[in-house]
Amino acid sequence: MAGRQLTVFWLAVAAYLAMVVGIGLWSYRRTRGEEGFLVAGRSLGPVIGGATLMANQVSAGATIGIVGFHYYSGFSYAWSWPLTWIGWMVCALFVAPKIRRHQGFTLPDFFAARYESRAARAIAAVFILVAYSVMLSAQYQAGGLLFALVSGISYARAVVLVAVITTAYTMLGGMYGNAYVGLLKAVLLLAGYVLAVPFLWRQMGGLHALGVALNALDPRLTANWFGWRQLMAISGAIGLGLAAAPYEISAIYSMQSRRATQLAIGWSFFFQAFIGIGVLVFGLSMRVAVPHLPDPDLATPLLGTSILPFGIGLLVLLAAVVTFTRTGGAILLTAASAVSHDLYGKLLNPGASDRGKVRAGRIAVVLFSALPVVLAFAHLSLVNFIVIYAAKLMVSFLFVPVVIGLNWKGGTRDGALAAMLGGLATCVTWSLIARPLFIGLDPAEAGVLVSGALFLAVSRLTPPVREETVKLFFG
Amino acid sequence: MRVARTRSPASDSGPVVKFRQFFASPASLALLSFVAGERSAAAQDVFPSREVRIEIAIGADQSASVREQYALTRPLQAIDSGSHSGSPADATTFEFLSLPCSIVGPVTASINGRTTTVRADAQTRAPWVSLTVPPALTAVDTGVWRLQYDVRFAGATPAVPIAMPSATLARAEASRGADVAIDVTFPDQRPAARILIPQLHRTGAANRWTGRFLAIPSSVRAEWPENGAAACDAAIAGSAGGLLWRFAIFAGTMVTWVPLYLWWFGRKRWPDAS
Repeated sequence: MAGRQLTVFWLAVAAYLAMVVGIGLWSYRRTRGEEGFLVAGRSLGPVIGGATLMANQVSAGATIGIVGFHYYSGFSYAWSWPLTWIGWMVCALFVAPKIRRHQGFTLPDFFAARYESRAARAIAAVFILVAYSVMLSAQYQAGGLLFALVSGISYARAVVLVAVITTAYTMLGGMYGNAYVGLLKAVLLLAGYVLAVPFLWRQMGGLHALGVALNALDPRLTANWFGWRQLMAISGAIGLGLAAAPYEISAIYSMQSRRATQLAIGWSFFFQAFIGIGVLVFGLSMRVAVPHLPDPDLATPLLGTSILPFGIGLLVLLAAVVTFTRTGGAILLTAASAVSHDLYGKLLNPGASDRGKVRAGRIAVVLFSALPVVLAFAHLSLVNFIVIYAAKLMVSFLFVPVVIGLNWKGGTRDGALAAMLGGLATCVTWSLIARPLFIGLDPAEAGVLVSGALFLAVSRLTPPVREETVKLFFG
Repeated sequence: MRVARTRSPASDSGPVVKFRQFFASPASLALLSFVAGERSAAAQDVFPSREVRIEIAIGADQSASVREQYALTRPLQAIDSGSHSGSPADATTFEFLSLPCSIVGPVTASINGRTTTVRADAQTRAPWVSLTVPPALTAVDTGVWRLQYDVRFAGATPAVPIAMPSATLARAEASRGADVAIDVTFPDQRPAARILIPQLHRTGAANRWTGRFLAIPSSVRAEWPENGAAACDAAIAGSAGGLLWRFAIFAGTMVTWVPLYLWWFGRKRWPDAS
């Protein structure tokens, strides 16, 4: 982009940021202490809640990374959307109703309450910081690619700019701001995709013409580049990871009620359906429109800047900007709450005031924002690879102690600790073996299986939690 | 033709290798660093030009003339004999997407004053047409590689296929890709004539459109209502490889699941804790 168009792009980004600041200031006035900052005063209804859940999940990994995946591997990765929804069903049936009984703020709160363990809280908080550094670096990398391509500034400067924007707006509003920016994100994504998909569809000659061109390039592009086994492994990691993801748990804590939470999951499906179809059409169309891109992750930025007409392209670019800043914000907020609420407020300084914890949270946002910048500079891999990698770590660490722990009374503190650490260690070890599906298992699957076995075995051998604790979660 | 080692996008070039390695070893930063290293190694599989100029002159007689120039950054080298497309070592290095309402005429290639007609294979990978330049034209020195061809249209929305190297272009300095300039001129100043895709901008002269890209688009599609031609409804022929029914099942699943879910959970009454 150059000249007047570049000016319009930056004005649009500035207008978005102004809206975010407006939402932030409005939220700031509504924010009453820690409950307001971290869980939006538990006020979110189904639609805004659904937009929040979608906005957390649909990161730059989708709007930039999955478009790049479709660009390179064709259709088959699309199945990851409905397969991932299995994880959301697990959340709707086995996580959301139970976890809303507990009036916590963060996932480590849940660990502390369910397993009566300060150690579990601390380990979970530290893990969140590590895993989310990786996840946040994917957002910065995607944003850096987009800003660098659009404006011509260097990639490093673009990454820093993305980090500054994300940090600034997260500090302003906490979860209130995040929730309403989530709705803004949903509106922008829908508007951009509703305009861009039919245009591309028509200009590329329809689905049949796309299929013929792709099939001639490589038959796997229209069929099964990824086999079902690979798709199940990826979707299992992402979907089941989402069922226990810290930022989604925080969002669930922000809902008005259990019913609102379950309906919100349905509304998030509505938003995801649009986006899933949109990113698929984007990726396939770009493969035919520009067959030899130097980097698949450039498919979305190039689509917005050079392929679509300016107005529609601007919407697609803006939707991507909102995506990586908003998901980055959710990650920052979750990491900040792990520091301010769990490590500082509960472990280091239990007497801290609400005001002090909110201040600590805002400081944590700034500090935590810096580490992923370094990872993004390294440009380790494709954006979606990084997202999947972080998801595999999370599901290995969190799934069993959260989902099984919410549905089996026999889980104990030691069982949870063994499950978390054993699952994570297995996943990492399995990966280092460097063989696909070693003894038939993906690293995340191996991690979850070992985590589950340890949870059951160790819980059987160690003292149970108190009766009051069991009543809190099991009635 | 002796050219840079090129591979089709479907072959085991850089990002494909990364996919495989990712699934082989996804979960450590050390391995991600390894993947990043592989990316650098794979970056050598490029066509040695980072500066491309494409001029399209649309004529009043339902035709267009296309001129392409590639400034070579180094001599063209022998293609890898283990080419994944199955082509011999001196074979295909360019390709274009054949469109149903546009007929591409003979393609000529030239470098440093030597010119030849390029052999086109429209069968092997239809609708992609592979262009094979005879080894006699192989350049051992640098210079400006040129392609030239004419296109005839059968409809009111001219679509011009663009021939391109079947490999990624070299990256321009401080850029994420190459510097590709595309310039389209209509025969005279007709206000309704415009470029639909990719995004080009009208310049001072109302009949001229330009744009810059980091890779070569497969076609330029224009709208030119005043040219008097009837619409061309011809569809591209060939197998879509099952994409249509797969897409229908995928989209159908997504669209059906949402109301089903909302209906199911909307009718149930869950006791609220809060």
